Amino acid sequence: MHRKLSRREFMRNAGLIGTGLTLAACAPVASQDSMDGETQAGNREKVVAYVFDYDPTGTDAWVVADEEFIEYFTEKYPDYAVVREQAPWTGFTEKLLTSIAGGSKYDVIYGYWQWLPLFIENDVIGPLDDLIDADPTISADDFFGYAKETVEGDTYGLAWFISGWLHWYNLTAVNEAGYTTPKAMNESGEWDYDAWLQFAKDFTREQDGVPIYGYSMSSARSVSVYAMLAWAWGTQQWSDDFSASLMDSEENIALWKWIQQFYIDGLTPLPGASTPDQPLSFTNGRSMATMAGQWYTRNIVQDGAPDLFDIGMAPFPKGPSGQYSVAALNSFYFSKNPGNVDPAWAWYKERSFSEAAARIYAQIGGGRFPSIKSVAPATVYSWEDTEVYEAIRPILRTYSTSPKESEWITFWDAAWDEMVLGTRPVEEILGQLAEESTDLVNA
Amino acid sequence: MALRAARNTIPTRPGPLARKEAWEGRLYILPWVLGFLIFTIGPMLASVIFSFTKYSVLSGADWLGLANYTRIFGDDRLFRLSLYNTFYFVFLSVPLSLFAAFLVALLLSVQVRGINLYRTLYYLPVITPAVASALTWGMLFSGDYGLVNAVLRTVGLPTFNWLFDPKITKLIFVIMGFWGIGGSVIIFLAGLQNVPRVLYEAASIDGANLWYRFRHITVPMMTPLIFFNLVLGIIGTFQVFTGAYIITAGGPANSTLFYVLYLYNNAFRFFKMGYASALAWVLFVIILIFTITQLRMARLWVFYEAER
Repeated sequence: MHRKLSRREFMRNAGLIGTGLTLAACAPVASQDSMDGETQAGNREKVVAYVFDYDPTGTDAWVVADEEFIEYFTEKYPDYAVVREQAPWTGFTEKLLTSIAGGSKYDVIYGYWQWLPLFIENDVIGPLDDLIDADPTISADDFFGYAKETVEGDTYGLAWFISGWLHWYNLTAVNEAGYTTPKAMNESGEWDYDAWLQFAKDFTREQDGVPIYGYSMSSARSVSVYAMLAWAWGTQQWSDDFSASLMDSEENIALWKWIQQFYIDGLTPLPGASTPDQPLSFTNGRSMATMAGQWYTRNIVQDGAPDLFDIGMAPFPKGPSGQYSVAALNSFYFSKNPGNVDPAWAWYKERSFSEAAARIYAQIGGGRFPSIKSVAPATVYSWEDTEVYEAIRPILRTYSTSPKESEWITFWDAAWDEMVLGTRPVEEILGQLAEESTDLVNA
Repeated sequence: MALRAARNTIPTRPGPLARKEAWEGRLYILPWVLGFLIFTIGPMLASVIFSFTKYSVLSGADWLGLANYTRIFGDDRLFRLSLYNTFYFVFLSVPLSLFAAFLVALLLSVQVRGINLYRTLYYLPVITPAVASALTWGMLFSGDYGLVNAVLRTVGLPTFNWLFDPKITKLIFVIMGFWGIGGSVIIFLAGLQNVPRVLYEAASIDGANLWYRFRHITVPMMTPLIFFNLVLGIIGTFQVFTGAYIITAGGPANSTLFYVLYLYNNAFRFFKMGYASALAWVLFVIILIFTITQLRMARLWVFYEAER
């Protein structure tokens, strides 16, 4: 028998349900152990490692690689289980922070060099040195120097993804113009900063009323990429002990003036000029050349650039003080107080420098250098120039993260914008930046 | 007399039905009250304590006393800059948005065919997700591909790199602010429809023209709502965040580093939750001072019909 609810009864019931839901929402959070019992029904007996990982949703090859790797790991370590919490790149640290604040504990955390000082300062992660020393299967000497993320002598990350930075240029356009390629110039010793600037000038033009830029300089804004240019000019951003900024050094001033020419002369797109769906990028032919790490092979393929033109590659040119390539690193970090060391370390090792990981993750982008000497570099695409990879390998160098890096970048970005806009003389901008930077690290 | 006496004998204690209704009422508001106590008051009180500590969430808090506040008012250049950017934005955006909302409400109060559709259209942006709006504005003002520059180019006017010129960026955010005037428009619209017709009729009989009726009837009668929107507008505008976070990330040259963005950066990018809490309380005090000042000044210009 159905009885119709009166409005009053309906409202009362709705109120009670609402109250119940609110109280349920406010109830204590289930512990990770109980969560495992529910979600990993088959893994009750397994020892669990908790990983806060990058969420590659949208990058199909990466998602597939992750699945393949998990399958490989669970087959190799049947007694271990891995619970992964994932977050996209945007807001990664915010999500990690709120997750930890919510009571989650992670044994392994996906890392990025810029966050390293923050994680160390807040006791989120600890050094790997004891784990490496205690592990009979590896030794610290097995790894290339450029693969290590170290702070004050302690190693916090052994990079799983190492990308050497280089020049990418439109080989078809260069050949059609009868121009000497940067690669050829490099081989003959003519590839220097004057040649780079001249290349940008020679290839900046208008085509059917649309500006085509000679060079996309935007990545130089990244402090780690800028460091590579600074090394070539005989300087760096900080003194070796990070107690003073060197941004007002003669070399830095000269280098910023050199970079400024690209913006003032319209050789490179201005920030804010393009949109995410219509970038003024190398891959769609709006810029004739760009700088990027080897990970860029992925973008080149995704954007279909090889169907539009041939891809040229060259090392960065020789500066007044030498020739360098910065190694862009992505490492996993290890918790300072891990819950289950064995499965976590097994995951760390396998994911970071096993042959299986190198093979599986090669599909997300080619040309990665390995961190461990026993693993061969992986090249995926036919148009990748392995000669250039070999040329940059000896000049790879790792950027050292300054204390308070995240905070410092606010000042760096503001100064960079001013340089690009030419609002003040470079000397004045860098003088202020040096003062702000030194104050910050000594505060 | 008899009626008054009878009224005086009515017991003041509510009857069973009223008591039941009162309990039900309390029950209905309980979810909100619980949410408010747990998710708002709790964190608010916690943030008072955090503001006196060095606290990152990731590790324990260290007591600092007044050090966070001393630094805010001492050598924190970005605090001063973000405060300047925010004041600039508030003083430009609030009056212009109020004026625009009032103007639109006046237009929407005219009875023409399809007026309900127009009213809906003007309110739609309010329910559009802020992130989607921000991205759309970012594309509109893009230097190379943006629609705004395309239109300017078509009519032969100079174009600008709107989002990369520190002299312009804050103005762009003011323009974006117009997008969200729908809420104020609705309030003004409701107020305009409540202005007694008899006042206009009486004024017309006395020979008052349109401007005179607007100036001496509409505006005075609307002052409570202008005041209401002004207070809410200032409180809301001081907390400008989404656009700057999504479109410019505080740039160029920190010209859109607004106060709440700086606060957010401290909390979630620099992991300085204690310092961010102190910044939040400083903002709270600033907004409180503004609100109290407005409340005091309201006596001078806000007309409440019931008080006359």
